Amino acid sequence: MKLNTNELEYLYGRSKIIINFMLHKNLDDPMMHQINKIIEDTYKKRNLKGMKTLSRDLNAWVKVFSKEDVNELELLLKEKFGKQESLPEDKSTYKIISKILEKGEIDTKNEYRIIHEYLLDIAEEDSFFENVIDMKKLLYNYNID
Amino acid sequence: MTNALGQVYIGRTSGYGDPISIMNRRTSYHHMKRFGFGNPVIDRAVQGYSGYPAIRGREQQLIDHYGGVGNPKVGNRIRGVSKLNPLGYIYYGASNLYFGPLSLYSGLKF
Repeated sequence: MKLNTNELEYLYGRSKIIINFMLHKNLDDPMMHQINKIIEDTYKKRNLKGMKTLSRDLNAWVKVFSKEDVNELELLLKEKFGKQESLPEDKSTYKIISKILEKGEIDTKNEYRIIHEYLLDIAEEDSFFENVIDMKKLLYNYNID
Repeated sequence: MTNALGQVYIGRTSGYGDPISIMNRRTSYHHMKRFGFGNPVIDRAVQGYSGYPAIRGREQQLIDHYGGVGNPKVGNRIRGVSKLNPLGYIYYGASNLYFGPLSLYSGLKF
């Protein structure tokens, strides 16, 4: 399988900004250092699937931050990746959710997981909030067995 | 959440406000209601940066506690934490730290 290097670099860079932000806010938390190491290891192994999962989890995690921290972190991401960069979804997640919604069905267990996990933590400011009902239908209609 | 067949569905969510309001908001648009699941109850709630991994781990440990995905008692169609999730063991450890162990680790170690 061909590895999309640009996507890996982007997700790694984005994840590093988020974890460094967390480390800055939680200097003495060893768990944050462990997570930082896992991000580094995943990148070194060129594990794009793992990096996508890490990035989606970090996106969800950020939703428990205070509004002030969310704004601060979003500024950092926009500085690095441009004004279009959104905190709730990385570009990779945005692209796959858009694709699933466009075709109107879930084809794989991985697509099911992406939609399922996105809905777990969805908030009004998220890009696909207005698609909640459509996403629910997609989950309901997918025969996972 | 539970259904008339006695199955249990384990989930999680996050947001601003008190835990019951957050849970009710999530339940209001939950796709598992179409499968007859309702009567949500809160198992654990945490606040703060470090709470997220603990809740992720707890969700998976609860699913495993009831027999795991595929067990007739469990309504979840997928695991809470993918076996291939690089952070799976972190979530497991965080849950143990916050709430105590409930089941053995069932994912892969990286």
